[in-house]
Amino acid sequence: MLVCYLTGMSKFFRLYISSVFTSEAFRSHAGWVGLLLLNLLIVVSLRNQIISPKVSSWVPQLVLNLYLLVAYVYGQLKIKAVERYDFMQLIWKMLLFGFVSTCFSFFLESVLYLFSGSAFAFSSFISNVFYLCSLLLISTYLIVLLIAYKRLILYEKSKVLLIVWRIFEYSLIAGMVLGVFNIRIQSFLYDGFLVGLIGMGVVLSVNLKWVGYLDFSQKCRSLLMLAGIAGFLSYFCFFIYIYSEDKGIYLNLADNIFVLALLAFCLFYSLLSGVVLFFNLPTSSVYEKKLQEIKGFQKLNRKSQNEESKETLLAALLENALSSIDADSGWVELKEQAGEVLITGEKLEEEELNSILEGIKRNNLKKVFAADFSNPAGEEYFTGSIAHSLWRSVLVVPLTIQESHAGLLVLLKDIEGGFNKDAIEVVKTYADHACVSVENMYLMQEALQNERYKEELAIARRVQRSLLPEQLEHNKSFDLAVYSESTDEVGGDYYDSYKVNEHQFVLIIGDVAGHGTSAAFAMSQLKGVFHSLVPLGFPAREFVVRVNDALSKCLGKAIFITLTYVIIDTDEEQVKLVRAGHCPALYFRKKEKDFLAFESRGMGIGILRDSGFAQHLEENRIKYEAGDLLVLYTDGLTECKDNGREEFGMERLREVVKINADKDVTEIRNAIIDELTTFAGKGGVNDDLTVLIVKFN
Amino acid sequence: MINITKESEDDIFIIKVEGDVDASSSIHLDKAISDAIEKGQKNVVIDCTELQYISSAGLGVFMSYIQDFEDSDSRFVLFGLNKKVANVFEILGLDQLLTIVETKDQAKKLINDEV
Repeated sequence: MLVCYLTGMSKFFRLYISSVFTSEAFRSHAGWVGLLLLNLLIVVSLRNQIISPKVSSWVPQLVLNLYLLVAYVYGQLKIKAVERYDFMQLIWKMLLFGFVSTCFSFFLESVLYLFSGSAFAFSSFISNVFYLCSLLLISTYLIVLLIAYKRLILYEKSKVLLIVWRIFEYSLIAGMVLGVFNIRIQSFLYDGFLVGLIGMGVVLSVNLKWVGYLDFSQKCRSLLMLAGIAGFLSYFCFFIYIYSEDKGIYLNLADNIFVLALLAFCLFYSLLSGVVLFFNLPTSSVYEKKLQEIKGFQKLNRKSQNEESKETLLAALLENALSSIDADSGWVELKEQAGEVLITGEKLEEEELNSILEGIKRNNLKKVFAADFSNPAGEEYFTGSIAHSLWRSVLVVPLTIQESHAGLLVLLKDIEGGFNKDAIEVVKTYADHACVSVENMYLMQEALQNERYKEELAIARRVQRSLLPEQLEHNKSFDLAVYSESTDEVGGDYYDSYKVNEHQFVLIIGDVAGHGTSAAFAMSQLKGVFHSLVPLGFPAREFVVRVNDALSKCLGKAIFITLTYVIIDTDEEQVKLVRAGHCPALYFRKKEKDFLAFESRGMGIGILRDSGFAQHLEENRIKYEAGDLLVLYTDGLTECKDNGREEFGMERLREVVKINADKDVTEIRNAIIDELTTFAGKGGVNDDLTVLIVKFN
Repeated sequence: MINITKESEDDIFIIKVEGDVDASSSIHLDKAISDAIEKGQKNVVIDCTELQYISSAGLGVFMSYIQDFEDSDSRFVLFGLNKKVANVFEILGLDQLLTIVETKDQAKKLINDEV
């Protein structure tokens, strides 16, 4: 019989675990009821066996306690940790359950009472069965209530609290084990243990933080529900007491330390919660107010993320400020960036506004609207009484945006001294919050503006790149390769070519002083001048003089341009070169394997803006031979610094050219750029850079 | 970084330029020279012995005052340029428009002779 029972229990245990995890409410409830019935059946049958004392006396107790254990585990799994908004639900369920248990138990007792006369009622068997039903109801309810209260107590848990609770739980289970041995209630140790358990329960009962989270109506309802639960528990106490001396009852609850301790704990906690709820009713309005303030901040926050309009933000600020401190009226004024004042009012006409200002002025509170707030060391707010028919006291809080005084928030109340320190703090916080939002709005606008500027620069870059030619003019007698990069989006370097006729070509390389946008403008002016003058076929020196004349009128005061102007005549195999202040070009002679030094004088464009310029220019003429190289470049190349702040310099350039002199132009160009990039290292080239190489065939 | 010091010596106004003259620091040099002109200084000498580097912005500053000094009939002399800086002036051709000497004495002598 026992074996059957145990196997049956374990089967059911497994069933419940699985049913709980599949969270099929109906199935688990059916299982729960099934367990109840099975236990009932088995205990009853066992009880029958007792009549013939073959089975030992501790078995029924064991069975009962095993049932309680299972019920406890099941309850733990079923009643999950409660969220803040589910307090009411939980307590309501407990109330319902208590009601059902009490009704059922009461029903059973009434039946017994009705049949009190007949032999049926006096049968020990029947009264035991009925008692057993009530016993199971009471103990199950107490366990469920224990778990529910556990969730409430542990709502805000700390390490210490958890430890004490664990001790309490284990002690209860220990009590269960003791119950198995059916020790009589009069034993001293037994008493002590019971008192200890009850003591622990009382200590744990002070954890009533969940009460604070309920609003006024919720507190009232909880109070009533807990009163109901306490009532049911009192009935159970009464029930146990009635039967405590009844020798006919075999499994007497009065001997069960576990149930007794639990009953005491639940009753105490219910009563204590009720009392605490009652005494917290007056303070709930304050708490609710605080919650509202926080919600107000959330609303302000959301508004500032969604809406762009300052008006809406200010209106929200005013609304929040008014409602949070129960002010009657007020307005917000904000100085716009353009200088106008934005006013948002609440229930105020313009005449009223003026009369209020009058009232404030009359009370000599002029400084309210003066520059006093501009001083950061000055008052952070102002409150006082005003002489006005309707409004008696005023609170003025300054709005500070980007560290300067930008506006005011004015609140009015119709009673004297209507603004206490707490209210002022709240309004100040709202005002600060709103100011931060407005600042963010300004920053967003700036950021958008910056994006626009960046886009404009990107467009400028594309336009300027298009000013530099893709292909350079040449014939079979020479080849060209060029490389040009600006350090910013736009730059001041320029190069170009022009085919005069089948055997005459012009090359130009130029560098505007500085780099960036101003240099880029001058560069495009140079291009314009070049293209208008070059078809006119001037000799080199005259061309440069005319460029100087044209640009002298356009260039800024301290701006100059350096350039080198080259005319290549492939019939005469001659190069004519004029150096207008530009870094001297390199000329490599293949046969002699050396570099020619250009001795010519030169002066930059725009330095001398009159006829005196011409005399400072000299022309160089070179007869070229096959394999010779002409290297034109801008100072971004030679003045490029490495990490140690040493310049690339002419020497290194000459080295690279010499080493690669036999390769074709493109390779020479790449070699120079590679060498430079390696030299520059992490810093990179910090100037506009152009290299133009001519190789004569 | 730039450091500009001004002093007067025997009726000659000496502006000493130390460090680098780049785009940002050229404004200080510009101001120093324009102040001198406003105050009516007739003999302005720039001490370039501690001048390490000059960018196109700095060269532009010198260039822009050539005309002013000629118009007001004042003397504008630079001295003590190191090799690199002197080279820059030469490439650009400014050495043909500005008076550049090597030492302070030479500068003073030049001015006194002209006077």
